[in-house]
Amino acid sequence: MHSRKRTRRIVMVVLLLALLALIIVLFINYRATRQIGFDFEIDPEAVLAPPVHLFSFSGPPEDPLQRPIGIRVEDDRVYVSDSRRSVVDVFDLDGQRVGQWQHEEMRIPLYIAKNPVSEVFYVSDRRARTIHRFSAEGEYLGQFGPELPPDQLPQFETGDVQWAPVAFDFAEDGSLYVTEILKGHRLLVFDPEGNFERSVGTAGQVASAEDAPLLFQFPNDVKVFGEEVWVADSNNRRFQVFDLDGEFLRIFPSEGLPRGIDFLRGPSQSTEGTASLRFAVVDTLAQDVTFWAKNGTNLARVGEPGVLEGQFAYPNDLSVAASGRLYIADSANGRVQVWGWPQDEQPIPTPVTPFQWGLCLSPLLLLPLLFALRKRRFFATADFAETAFASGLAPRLPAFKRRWLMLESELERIADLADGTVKAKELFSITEHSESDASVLAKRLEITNREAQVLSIAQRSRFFCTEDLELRRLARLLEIDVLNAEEFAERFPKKDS
Amino acid sequence: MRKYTFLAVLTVALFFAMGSMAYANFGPHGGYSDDTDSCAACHRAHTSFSPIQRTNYLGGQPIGTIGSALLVSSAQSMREFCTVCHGNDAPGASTNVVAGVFDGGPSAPFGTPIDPGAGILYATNSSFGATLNAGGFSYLGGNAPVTSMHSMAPEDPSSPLTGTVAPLWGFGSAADTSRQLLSEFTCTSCHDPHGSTNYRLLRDALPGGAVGGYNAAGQPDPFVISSEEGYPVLGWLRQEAGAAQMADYRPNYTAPQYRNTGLQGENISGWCAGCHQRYDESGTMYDYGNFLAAGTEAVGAMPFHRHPVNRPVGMMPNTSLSREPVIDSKIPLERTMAAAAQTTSSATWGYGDMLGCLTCHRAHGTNATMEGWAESSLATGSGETTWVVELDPGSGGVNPNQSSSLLRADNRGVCQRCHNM
Repeated sequence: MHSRKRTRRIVMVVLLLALLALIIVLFINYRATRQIGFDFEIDPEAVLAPPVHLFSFSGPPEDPLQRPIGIRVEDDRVYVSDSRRSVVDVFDLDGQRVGQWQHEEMRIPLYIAKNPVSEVFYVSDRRARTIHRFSAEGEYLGQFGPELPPDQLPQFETGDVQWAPVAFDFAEDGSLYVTEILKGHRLLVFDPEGNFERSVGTAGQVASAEDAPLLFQFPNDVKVFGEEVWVADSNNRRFQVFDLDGEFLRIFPSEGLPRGIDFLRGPSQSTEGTASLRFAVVDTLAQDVTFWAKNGTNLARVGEPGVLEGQFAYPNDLSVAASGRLYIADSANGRVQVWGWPQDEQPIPTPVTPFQWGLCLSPLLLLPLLFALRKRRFFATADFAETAFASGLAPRLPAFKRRWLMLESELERIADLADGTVKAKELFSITEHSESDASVLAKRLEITNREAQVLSIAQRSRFFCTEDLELRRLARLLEIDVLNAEEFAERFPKKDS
Repeated sequence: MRKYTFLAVLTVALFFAMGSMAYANFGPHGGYSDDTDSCAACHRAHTSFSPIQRTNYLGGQPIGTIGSALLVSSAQSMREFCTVCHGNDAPGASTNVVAGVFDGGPSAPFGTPIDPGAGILYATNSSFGATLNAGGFSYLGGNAPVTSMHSMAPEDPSSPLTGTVAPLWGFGSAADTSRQLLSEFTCTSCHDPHGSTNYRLLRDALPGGAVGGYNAAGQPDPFVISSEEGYPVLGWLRQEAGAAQMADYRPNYTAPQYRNTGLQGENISGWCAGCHQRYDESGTMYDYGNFLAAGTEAVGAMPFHRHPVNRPVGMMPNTSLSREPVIDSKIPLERTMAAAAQTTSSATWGYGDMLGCLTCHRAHGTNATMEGWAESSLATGSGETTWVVELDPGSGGVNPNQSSSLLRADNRGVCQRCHNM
């Protein structure tokens, strides 16, 4: 048996055995679980693939972002506050600026949120010590007046300033939660009509992040998620969690300088039952984004300090889009970075489960067909063709799975041969020899160049057809399957065999 | 746990549960306990990637930089690092030195005792929204752009002072007439974030020599103190004892309440002379070196003279003792050691109080404007040795500095507020 044939058969057997093994395993698992596929996820809550940097944007070159501080994604718009330019820039999800909000009263805009009931946007302002209100079209609607009761006002001279709001968010019913740093550092709760309801906590520094709930130190973000209000107690390196009534629930130590937080909601980060358990945190000093599970597991970390793509310079806030993309205010770099999970970005989703992978790879099962359909190469010399045409064998040469090859110089000699519908110039295709292969053969067998050229092609063909006795002898020496016209007629007795 | 655990700058305070409560009132700057975690707020022993180096000292004097400062983050400059909290963006400290304003709580009515039960764990005597005593590096009082600053590159790129590198006036020996440029001046050139014996974390050592520090017995020997409520006039102690001192301290970031130690050369002006060395030249009271040789202002080998400091204002001639020595709070004096601490938002002064560098100048930046004769230059008259003053509109000040020179008042208002005959 020829060595190439043996190798092919071994490969085929191995592939078939592997396929058989896979089918057996799937069958056994199916009998046990009534499900097709493997469950590779050991602990879904503890696994999160890190996102990758997708792109960045900073607005038009003539008026780029200078110091983006707060960022908020609502529907198909990205709202970015710029403390240097005293504006809120509005971008589409791809980073094209589509609007800009500004007003003479707005000085150092910080954080942004939308009232889900009135659909009015709110923007806190560090210098004006207020919260501005804008319509979705950017029309200035005045300021949110906290109308704090007397016992909630600072007990020292403030020049009629009631508060110094920093960060805030809305509940679904329009209730407003605001951190402020004038009368202590605290969380203020307002009802959906904007009436003051209660003040929670006061200012204080803690030695251990897990100590002393209700003490805040420069709380720089608030996010309402479901029935919980998360407050980034930034300088105390932790989050404090409250219910919607402002009752303290628990402390979540984060370390670092957490300033921006948002909850993950993309398809690849949320599995059933765990969607609410994962969130991303911007750490301004560490200059990275960390991902956490609700149970305190640190899932992933991305970013590093610097100015290149994917590197941060004192990032300050982030917001997660419905698609799962993260929009991060890369403050000192004057840009917004967009991170995401590639599988969420692909129009055709990447398979995840073994069953999905099996479906994707199933076309490979058709590979053996290629072997079956492959045309066998018949390399012939001119004398073989002359004999075949002279003996009436020519009509049996063509076949669906045969491809006849001949050197150009020899084909020119027999181009005019024909037998009925079979014409030599149509039956044979020109092929070329490999000079390196031919020279090796010539040196090894001490044969002529022409013989070496023919044999080098014959080696790469399934059958070598010739009447030349010397070539036949040499071909057999090289374990080439060689046939003359008589042998061909015996080997292939029917036209389409 | 993640490999890199970053703690926050300006966040770590100390609770000391034993005995009376003690507070690290003002961030992670000093008063460290034996088991403090404050170090990790700013430093990493093995995982720092900041290129900033630490200053090396020999005999109390800085002799250059050596090794990494092991800072967390990749800050390229100390200014970047410090303004993460003390800047004008997301708030991380009440002392906004970029906008030059005290713009955050917590504050409390003057004299309010600390009440841990109520959760007010620290308080200041500062006024909300008021200008910081030292001014700001981009704005004053939050709004007004500065016209001169202590030479550090401004935070705000729109500031007209961006990129300014000013001469270090009076640096070096009396014979040195060159202009030393402040090319690497930054926050930690003056402040020691780890605490010092001095007021406002002012360094204990400067290029001109020791300007504070601890003696062999470990006792503080400060140059700069204040008359603020509860300020330890003998200087800040080290470690937990220092934290305990903070319990009663009510800083006033918005009304200068300076105090003079009464010791020759060891006072606020003496501290400034740690860099502006010739301004404190002790050979004569008012002469401190030759006139500058470089530039068009060279007038030959003649000595500089300067206004006296560390003298009670009552020593001024022709002063009526029936009126205040200064006519408004723009011009702060330095209280004497014998005077009581100041527990109010503003300060009143007596003729026994002293004047110093900070009487006329702000430390960080000012928005004072110069017009008329406050914008003028020396020029030669008909003869080469005759120098006259010529109006120089638009120059921003007088030569050789040609700026508002950190002055507290417009033009020469700092003169008139004392010499108010």
